[in-house]
Amino acid sequence: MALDPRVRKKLIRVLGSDYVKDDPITCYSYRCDGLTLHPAEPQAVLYPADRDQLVAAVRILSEQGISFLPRGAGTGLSGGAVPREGSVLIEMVRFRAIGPIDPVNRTIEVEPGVVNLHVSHAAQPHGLYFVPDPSSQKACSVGGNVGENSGGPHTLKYGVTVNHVVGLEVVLPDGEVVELGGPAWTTPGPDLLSLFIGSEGTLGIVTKIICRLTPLPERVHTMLAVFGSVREACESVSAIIRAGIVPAALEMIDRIVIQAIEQTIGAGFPTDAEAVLIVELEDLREGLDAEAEQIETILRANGAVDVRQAADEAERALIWRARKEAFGALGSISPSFYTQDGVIPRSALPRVLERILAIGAAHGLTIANVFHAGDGNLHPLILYNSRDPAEIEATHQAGREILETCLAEGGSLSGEHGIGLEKSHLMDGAFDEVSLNHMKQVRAVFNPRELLNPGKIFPQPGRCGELKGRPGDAAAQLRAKSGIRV
Amino acid sequence: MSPSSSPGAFTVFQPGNPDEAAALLADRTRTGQPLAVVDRIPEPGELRRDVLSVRQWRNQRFFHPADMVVGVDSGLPMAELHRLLAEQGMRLPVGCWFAGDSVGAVAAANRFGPERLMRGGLRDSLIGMEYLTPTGECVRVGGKVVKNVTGYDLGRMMLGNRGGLCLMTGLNFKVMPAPVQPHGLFLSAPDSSWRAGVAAAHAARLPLDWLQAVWRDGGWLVGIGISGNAARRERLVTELRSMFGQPLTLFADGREEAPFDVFAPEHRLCGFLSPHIPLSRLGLHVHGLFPTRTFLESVDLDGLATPGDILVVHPIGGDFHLLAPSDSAAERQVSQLRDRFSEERGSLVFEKVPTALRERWGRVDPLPPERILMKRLKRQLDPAGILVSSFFD
Ligand SMILES: Cc1cc2nc3c(=O)[nH]c(=O)nc-3n(C[C@H](O)[C@H](O)[C@H](O)COP(=O)(O)OP(=O)(O)OC[C@H]3O[C@@H](n4cnc5c(N)ncnc54)[C@H](O)[C@@H]3O)c2cc1C
Repeated sequence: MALDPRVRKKLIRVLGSDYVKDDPITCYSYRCDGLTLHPAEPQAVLYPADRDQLVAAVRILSEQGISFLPRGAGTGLSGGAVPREGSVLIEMVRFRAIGPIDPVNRTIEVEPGVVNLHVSHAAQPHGLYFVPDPSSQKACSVGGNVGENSGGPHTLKYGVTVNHVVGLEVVLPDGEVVELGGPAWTTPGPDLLSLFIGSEGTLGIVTKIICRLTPLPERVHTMLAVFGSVREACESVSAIIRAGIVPAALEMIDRIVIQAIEQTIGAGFPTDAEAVLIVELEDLREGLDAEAEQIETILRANGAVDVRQAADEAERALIWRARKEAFGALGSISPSFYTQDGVIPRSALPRVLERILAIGAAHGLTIANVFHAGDGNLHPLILYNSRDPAEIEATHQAGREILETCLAEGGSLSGEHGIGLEKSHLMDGAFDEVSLNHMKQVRAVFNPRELLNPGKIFPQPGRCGELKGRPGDAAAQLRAKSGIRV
Repeated sequence: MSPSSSPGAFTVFQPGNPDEAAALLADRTRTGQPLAVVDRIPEPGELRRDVLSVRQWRNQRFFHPADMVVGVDSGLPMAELHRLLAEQGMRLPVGCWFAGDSVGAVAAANRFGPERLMRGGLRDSLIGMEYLTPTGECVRVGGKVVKNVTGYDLGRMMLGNRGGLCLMTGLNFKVMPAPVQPHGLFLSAPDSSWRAGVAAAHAARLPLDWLQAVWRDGGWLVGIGISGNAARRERLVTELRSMFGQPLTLFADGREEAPFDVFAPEHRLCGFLSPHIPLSRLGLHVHGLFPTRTFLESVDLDGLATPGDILVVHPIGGDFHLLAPSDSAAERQVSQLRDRFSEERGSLVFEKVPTALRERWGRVDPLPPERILMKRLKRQLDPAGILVSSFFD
């Protein structure tokens, strides 16, 4: 469905003809983000260059009652940037300005299209960095990080995006521009900044972000602990925290993923290990060695058969490359896999991982695990054969059972990938009707006509049946949700 | 249920549990009678309307130190929560401002404190909330795990709502292990020349646990928290001493206690407010929220307070509290603050000022740009205006 010619004309007047696209190839290319389970083509794609253009475009769409949504780099894994049929997609890639940086305030202003890693690059000369580091950080945008409240391996100690953003400039669905927060780190009154972070592009389109920067650690100590069982690795995680130590990162990788990593990246991880734990400590030189020794003792006491220390920056970088590209590496042993994202209390890790393996076994599926163990944020990767409809159905069922397990353990449906389209049908299992309605009431303050990013977060009538009822379609869709290399 | 007391024409409601509170709110919505959520029950003469207090809800709902999470009733005193956490070697980075402050009160004002620079405020620790809407419906958002992006973060949104959007009934927090071997360094100075030392420590990116400067009795007392093993502390002490160029006194702290409460009274930095100025006698309280640069470079902090007042400054992060025992000089003091901070990007919150001044300036000066959204939110969530809060006037 192409744009109404009158609307197109108005949009071209504002954005220029190169930046209003509704040809079939463009629309096809934007039919999904990192989640390809529910593809839908936009009516058109717009590429505003700055806030004023965005406001003008949003006003035109809003006047016409056409729904629209922002998109960053499209690496989201829950379908937040997937258009509903007929929506206009607003690509934020041209919002690329970085700076100014204020080293005294430890803040930097960036536009939402800036790539996550580039913020830390800009801050580095001042000895500062931007903490949120999703594994997709070479590609994903800061606007997308704000949209999803993204995390990453290093958020255990320092928190997620909401803890590192102090101000936003936002365009509301009717074109009104508002500022939330600011350089003062706190504004009196209800914390609207926190509300917008993680709202998955359903409350407003972010056009400027004030990121809070954190001092780079003087020294970093990275260890790789090797275990003969997943249970021992999990118990070590709890033992470290119980000892009063919160490492900067605490990541776990199981045997299947280790093997995939060794086939592709060759990080030197032992392929006969059942699990490895990456433990990273950061501090002043003087504080670190004693803490590292203490952790090594804990790891060995909990069954680590080997504890390796990264000798230099190159070794450390290789460990992190292996961790951050693990999803992609898995493509080498299974062409299709489905990435889940759920959270449980950390102390339940041993029990829940066993349960996940049992869920896989009951469905005849292999489930691999690479995840943020310190946060209890699981990423089970369900390997499946995309040519086998029964297996695809089983994959859906296993994914659902995993999330139900997380909820039953007192956990949550998502730790960092968001709800989007993917999990909206499970939201009524996580929240009662009153709480969901209250969320909708809040959405109505900012997005009263639901023109902005409709169909996300909240259960949609019929979606559950849709998922269950079309295994043939699901085959193609699930196949595509596999090993995106970044 | 209560009304437990009825001084004058107004009623103080103290519901025994959230269900009773929900019934009260639903009834108030039906009859269109507003009330105010209060932490402390006002003296009879101070009552201006019906009030609702939840201080009697003091239960710990869960505490799993190994998972670094705790959940409590909103009426639990903050100090009690800290004691509970300290027993297990854990800590929340926000203490109590006034002795007896409840967790709900600290959350409703979105307070932070001396640990702000490294560990943030309540906003950075909140993981879940249960609250009642003005119509008495019970909403549960967030959860009990340390990482969660499921649905809108209405819990964090409610921080700072000052009783105008909901009645908080339960709060869940992520907690962290308490600092190992905490120590405090202290410095006395007649003027704010200490700022140069703080600026140097900040520029050197030293990992300090907390930082607070207090002006009282005509001079400044600056406290800096450090922790860790002996070698780490020694390095920090050496560097800080050279940066400040003034004598810094070192005090050791007990491991299981909150860093600020263990020092002899004359050196206490936190928990000192009420012994010095009892709340009932507090005449003026202005809270300023400004960028770090404001405190380290642009605004002259000397002369803001007059003898008898207390000025508490957290320069990195950054905010100040001006507390005066009497409101006799309030007009002059507030004008001076407004002049001095007028060029800065931030806000002054008039927590307690004479009514005439409040009427002239409102509660916040200048009004935050998102103020208009906050008012829209109030209209949407509390159309009948049942929860009275001067913040939304
Ligand atoms: C290989 C791989 C690894 C990953 N690892 C992690 C990880 O470790 N941690 C993690 O948290 N995530 C991870 N992700 C998920 C994803 O990268 C993050 O969610 C990321 O923040 C999305 O950014 P994006 O720019 O791609 O946003 P998009 O996918 O384009 O959009 C995400 C959401 O944000 C909204 N949005 C985008 N821009 C704006 C804006 N300007 N204003 C308002 N809303 C906006 C969109 O509408 C959408 O709802 C991974 C993804 C992949 C493919």
